[in-house]
Amino acid sequence: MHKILIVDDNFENRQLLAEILREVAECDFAASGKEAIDAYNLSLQRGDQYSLILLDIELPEINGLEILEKIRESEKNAGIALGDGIPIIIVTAYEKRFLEAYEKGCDDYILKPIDANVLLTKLASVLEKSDQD
Amino acid sequence: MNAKRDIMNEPFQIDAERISADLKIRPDIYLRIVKSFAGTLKEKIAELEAALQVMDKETMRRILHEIKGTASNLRLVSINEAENLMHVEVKGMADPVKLAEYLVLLKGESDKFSEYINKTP
Repeated sequence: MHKILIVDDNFENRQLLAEILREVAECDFAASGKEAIDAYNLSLQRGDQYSLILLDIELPEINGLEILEKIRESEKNAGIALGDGIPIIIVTAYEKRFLEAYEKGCDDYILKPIDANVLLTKLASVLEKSDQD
Repeated sequence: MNAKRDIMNEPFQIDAERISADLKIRPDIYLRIVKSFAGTLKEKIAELEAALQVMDKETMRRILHEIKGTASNLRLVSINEAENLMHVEVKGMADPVKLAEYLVLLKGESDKFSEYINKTP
């Protein structure tokens, strides 16, 4: 089973996403940008990396795009090429923000309100591509 | 104004079976999350009231955005509609009188929501 990090500052949104993904993944949670970075770093230290990160853009203090940048920068410093790093799907209410997220290295995006079919389909597609690489 | 009148007059209801099927989760789990949100919404509205008193538009926008995200994910249409009236106003003219009026509407909808969810097994 895949292991996914859900980053969202809203408790109910985290719970909802985890329930939708219940059959396909075990989920960890981060409620802020700092928690997300800490969870990501901890997974690297443990050698137990996440299969994917679901990342909300609107977060207090460090927003989702900044987290995305930090993770891609860290991968670049570790010699991991863009496209070979951890898959990241951005969650946003505003479609126009995904262009900025793509430029910063996200793999896909999903719009709020969450459509369970779209989420599961995109997740499967990103994970399949990641497994092939 | 029609949207406002409709929201005030309509009883609160949730088709948990249909929505949970749509979200591909169990109805009891959907209701558990919705109950949690009823409590969160009360807290957010209290924060909104405080922000409105000092006309802190940025905080109002942030809180309304949070309410919008969760209410729409949980398909709570009337909460979304009530939130949207205030959200549009705060992003536009931000007339304090209208904002106060829309906040009352949102509180009313939140109360109906809580009452409904407390009666739901």
